[in-house]
Amino acid sequence: MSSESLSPGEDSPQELLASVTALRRRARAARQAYWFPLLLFGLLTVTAGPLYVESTEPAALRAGPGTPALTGLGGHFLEQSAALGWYWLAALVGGYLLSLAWYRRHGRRAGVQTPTRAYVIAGIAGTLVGVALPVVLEFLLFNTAVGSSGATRWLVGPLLGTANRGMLPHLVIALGLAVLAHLERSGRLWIVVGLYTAALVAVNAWFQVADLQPGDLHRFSFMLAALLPAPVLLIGGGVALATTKQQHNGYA
Amino acid sequence: MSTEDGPRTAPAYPTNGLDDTVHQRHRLGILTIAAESERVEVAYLRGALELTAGNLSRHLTVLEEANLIQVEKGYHGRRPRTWIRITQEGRRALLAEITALQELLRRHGRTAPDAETG
Repeated sequence: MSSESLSPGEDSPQELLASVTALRRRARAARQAYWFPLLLFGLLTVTAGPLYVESTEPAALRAGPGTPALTGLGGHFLEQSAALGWYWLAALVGGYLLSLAWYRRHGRRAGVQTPTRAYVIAGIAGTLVGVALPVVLEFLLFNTAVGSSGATRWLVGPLLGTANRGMLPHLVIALGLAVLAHLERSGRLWIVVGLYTAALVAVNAWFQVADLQPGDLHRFSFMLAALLPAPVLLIGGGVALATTKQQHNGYA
Repeated sequence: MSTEDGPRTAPAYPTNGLDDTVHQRHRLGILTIAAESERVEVAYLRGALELTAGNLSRHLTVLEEANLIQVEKGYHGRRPRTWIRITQEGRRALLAEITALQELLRRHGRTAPDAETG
């Protein structure tokens, strides 16, 4: 008998590997619950919509109060940048903490827990970076002593534009969801993150390359830009929820 | 039993890479599910592996004694709950086992036609 032979009655490698694959798939389906953060952040983005609307008053005539340091997420271009900054600070921190609570609850109910610590850390850290980033970018772009070189200017300029339009929170959401896709080991979530990021980049690239003249933008332009990536999250979350229910019924 | 070689180094005979503790079908199942999650509840394992409480407990004891899993006991409300967490050693052992099984399958696939003609 060859040393590579298996004892009679013992499972063959093929059977064992098939069993491993089936168990892994089943456990993954039971613990995955990313529909909740997708819908949550999609709804939080939609709720922020009114804060992106500009009044009809010319921008030059508006009073320009200084914005508090913690409202960096709201940018500087918008009439309600400060309110938007506060909103996103609370929404992002609250959203990540709520997601954590959701995953804990789901894990207890399903009996299989997803490791979510890295997701929450990435989200909260991303939020804090988002608050401080506009100041750093402005310093890099406008401080002649430091002066961003040609190599970094292509990144600093568009990123500051994104920040000023109040769209850094979208990047923070994309970052958190990318970490979650890695933790969930979900190809579908990676697709949602890819589409969301692509929508985000496309919207901001349009602002960057369009030769905008005074009067080209109307009062809803920034709101439309901010809301455009949201359907990706809402549709992705809805499809994930429907799939989860289907799988649950299948195993029940 | 497992060798000192890492899972990337294929042993001369793939069966040398099989660890009796891990190779058993249900223990392999427990480690697979535990590796897929941060931690898994005993009730889930019982359902997924279709084992009785006594049988599952025996397999868990073997894995815990080999330091491949950690058992955490707690309460959810008034209900007692037992959770299983895979250790780093457990992850390594699982990877080594799967690598050995894949290698075994690959070699069998390569040698099967020869065996038939011989």
